[in-house]
This record gives sequence, structure tokens and C-alpha cells, in this order.
Amino acid sequence: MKKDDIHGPRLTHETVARLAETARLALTPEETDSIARELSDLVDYIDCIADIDTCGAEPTERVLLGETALRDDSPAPRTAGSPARCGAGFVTLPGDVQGEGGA
Amino acid sequence: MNITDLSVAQLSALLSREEVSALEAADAYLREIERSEPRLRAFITVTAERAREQAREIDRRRASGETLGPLAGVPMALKDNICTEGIRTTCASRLLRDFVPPFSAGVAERLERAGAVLLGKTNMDEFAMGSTTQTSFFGGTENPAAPGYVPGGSSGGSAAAVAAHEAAFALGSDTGGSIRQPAAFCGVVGLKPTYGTVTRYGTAELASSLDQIGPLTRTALDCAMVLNVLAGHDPRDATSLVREYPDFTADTARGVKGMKIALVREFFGRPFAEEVQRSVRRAAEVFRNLGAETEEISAPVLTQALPAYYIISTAEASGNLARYDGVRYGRRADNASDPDELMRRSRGDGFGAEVKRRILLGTFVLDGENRERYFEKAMKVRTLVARAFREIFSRFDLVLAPAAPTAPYRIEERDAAPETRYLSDICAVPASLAGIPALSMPFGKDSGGLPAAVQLIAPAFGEREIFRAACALEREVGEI
Repeated sequence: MKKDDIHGPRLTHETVARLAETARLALTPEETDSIARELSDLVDYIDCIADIDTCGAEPTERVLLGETALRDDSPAPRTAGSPARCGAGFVTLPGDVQGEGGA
Repeated sequence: MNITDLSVAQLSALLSREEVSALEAADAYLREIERSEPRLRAFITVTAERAREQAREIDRRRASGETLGPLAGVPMALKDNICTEGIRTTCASRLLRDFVPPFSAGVAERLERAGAVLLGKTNMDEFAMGSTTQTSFFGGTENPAAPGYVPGGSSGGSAAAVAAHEAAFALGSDTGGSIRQPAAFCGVVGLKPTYGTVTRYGTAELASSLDQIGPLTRTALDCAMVLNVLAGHDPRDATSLVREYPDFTADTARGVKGMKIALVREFFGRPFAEEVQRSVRRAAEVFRNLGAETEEISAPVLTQALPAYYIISTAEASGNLARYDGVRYGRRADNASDPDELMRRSRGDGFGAEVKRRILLGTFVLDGENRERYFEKAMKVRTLVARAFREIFSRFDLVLAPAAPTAPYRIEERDAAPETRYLSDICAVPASLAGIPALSMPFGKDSGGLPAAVQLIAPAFGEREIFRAACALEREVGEI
């Protein structure tokens, strides 16, 4: 029997709602419930990582297999073409969300 | 002669001798796309007119006596997370359904400079999150090698397009098997190169410490030919290595005599299907008959690494996908009352269920004390995986392993619980975590007539050894 059959999902509706707020993700109440159930199962699964003995192992953020290079610190022409929704280097928002003083 | 039945190498030879024109090749593939697409849905966008224009230009340059490279005039497709200037690039998401990038990705530029002809952009799991190519906003792709079955994913459109002869080759991206697993399911060759070998500039990022772009082809030699064009430093990608690369086709005819190949014991037994295990053992026997030595070894951490992969990849994805905010890219929610609501609703409406699930899992594993419990721990497991491979490759040239734990499954089985679906990446993620090259290649059919495959893994920059062994195995089992 799964844990949530007895105790309810490990990740509650409230926890998922808070995570969604952090991730700037609007969810319906139904989505929040179903994601809480699915994430609870996933968290049960990834919990088995605790069983691996990592004593003496430093964390590896990124495997670097050779030499990389930084670009020269000098001005370069802008990428050809105009970036999406950008004009003269500015991103434009619709008028109703710009707040007071918006163009 | 049917042009679309030719390998890249064969077509390249005919093009260079002007026995086939680039326009004839493009037209042949476009006819194949028109015939197969209503059923397969391997493409999101087909760029027919642009392909014909590009092909005419190649023919004109060749007629004027210009010496062109081996991919000039060869028709190909790009996964739809690879930016193409002026051609929409959707990541198979509602959020980017109309997004037209203002620049091209480094790999798209390299292929264009090499004269490869772009036929279109291929279907994928939304934002490359999935292993079925059924989470695409544009509808799922069907497996041409097994009608009614998933093509694998997330580069399932690229694998299906190559398998159905809709493109001579295609590019995919591989974070935790997204080239190799669909290649295995569709019966084609797929390579994840060494991390840092191929520029990722202009490719939508999923998990930056893992993502790598690579080719899907019908033969191992074709794969080496395409990698010859893709490999090289790009100053616009901070992870791109400053390195000279060899001719990856150089050892393809050399055979495997004297090579030492390891089989990892933990890749036998559950959860690996018996037929999958049999394929690996049969491939080992073929290698032995060709003069290679094989030995079974133990490296338990390789099959324990899957949770570490899902922790790292979702954590990185949750940050990378923060850029899709309804302000700078893609779909924007209507009638938002403030920027915060605009962002939340644009993302809530724009992302599909799997993307939301992974963003939230990534947010969870980075949340407060969870960071140490999950994310830091996963990065230590990555250290152990890299260490295990170093130990193996101190004694062996290659690892022979399954490419996927099962054969392809039916499309209606795609909605299995996420943790079950995630298991399909178990064979692929060890090489991803270690940043080393790995290739999936066809190995006949299983008893149910479904494509069977094996995987070859090498130490960093060992692609030439991989191609050497893959070509030898291919000669024994026959090309597709």
C-alpha cells in the first residue's frame, strides 16, 4: 500500500501551492491536487538516493572534461536581427500591467 | 534507385559526382514527408520552399566548380528546440507555438555552412521533457518501425523522421537519453557526444550541465560524418571545449580486434526485459567472434543513478524555464492586472502537465533544507558515477549496455505513472551524468518484431572508438 493511501499525499495541496507560487506557475485547484499526488510518488522514488553511500565524494556541479574559454572582454556588435518584443534594447509590456508611470 | 533509401555516405557520393542533384534529393524527401506525415507527425514545421531554394543554391555552387563538403545537398531535419532564424521554433509547447527566433543555433549555422538542406523542424516532448514524444502540444509522433507504438523521446520526431526516410539525418538533444532511447525505439543510430564537443548556443536549455546535441542517422558511418561537422569550439557557449577534433570516420573500417569491452552485471536482471538482456549478450558474442575481449564487471552505482539524474535535471530545468515569463518570449496571458499575474498565468496556461510537474519537482528539491538532502546528494552521486566510469575505462575501451530497459510500448500505455515512465531512462543517464559519449544502435528485431538495440559507451572523447565498434557490429548484423 502506498503511503498516501494511509496518510494522504506526502506533499500537501498547500505545499504544492507554495512551490507553484515560488515557480510563478498558476495552477487550478484540481491541478494542484493531482500534482500533489504525483509529486508525492516521485518524492518517494527519489528518496532512495539516501541509500547511496556518498561518504568522501565531493559534489560535481558540472563535468568539465577539457579547457573552456571566456570571450574577450571587449564590446561586440549585437546579435543580428531584433530580439523578440525588443525595440531599441527595451522589452515592452502591455499597457495595463506597466503600473503607474508606464508608457 | 530510390534516393531516400540511400545513406548519407551514399547520397553524398552521388551528389559530389553530380549523378543526383540537391534539388532532386530535397524533392524526393519532401515527397516522402508528404506521404508519411499525416500518420507519423514527426514534423512540427516543414520548410519545403526554403529547402528547394537552399538545394538550388547548392546545385548552382557545385555547377560553378566550387568544392563542397560531404553534407552539401544532403536533406536533414532539426529538433524543434534548436533555434532557426526566421523559422518558428516551438519546443513543442503551446507557450512557444508562434515563436520565431531572431537568430540560429550554432549547430544550425554549422550545418547550413556545410550545405546540408533543412527540410523542417521535428516533433518532440514539450521542452524535451519526456520519453514518448506524446507530450507535444502539436500531438504525438508514431513509431514508423512499430505502428501504434511510441517512438521514444524526447527526440522522437527526429528518430521517426530518419527511420521513415523523411530525412537523411536529423539532430536531437540528449539530456538523459533523449537521443539514444528514441533511436533505440525507432531502429536508428543516435549519438550523445562528449559534453562540450557540440555547441549548445541557441538551443533551448533543459538541464545545462547535461544537455548535449547529437545526430540521428541510419548508419554509424553517417553518424560519424555528421559529427565531423558538428564538433568544434563555439565562443558563444561557455561549456564548449577548446579542442581540435579528429576525423571521426577514420577508424570505421578498422574492426574490433583487440578491443576490450566491459559488460556491467547490474544491467542484467530486473528491471531489464529478458529480450533486452539477450540482445546485449548476443552483441557481446558478435564482438568476441570479431576478435574483441569481453568481460562482465560490477558497478552498482550506474543503475542507482536515476534518482540523481531526475533531481539534477529538474532542479536545473526549474531555473532554465524561468525565462519563459510571458514578457520576453512566446505566449502572453490576456488581461493580467499586474506583472506577477501576467507571469503566473502565461506560464500556467502555456506549459503542459509534464513540464509543470518537473518545474515543481525541481523547485521542491531546491527548497530550503531539501537542497542538501536531494540536490547536493545527487551531485555527490554524479561524482561516484564519473569515478566508476574512470575505473572501468582504466581497463576497458568501451562499455556495452542496453539502450533502453524495454522494447517500445504501445501509445495507449504512455500514461503510466511518472516514476514508471522515468525508468525508461535508466540505461542512458549514467553516461549523461559523467559527460561521456554514448551511442545507441539497432541490433535487429526482438521476437515480437520490435526494434532491438544496444548502447556503446566510451570515455571522454572516445567517439572514434565507439564508431569503430559500431561499424563493425553493423557490418555483422546489416544496415537498416
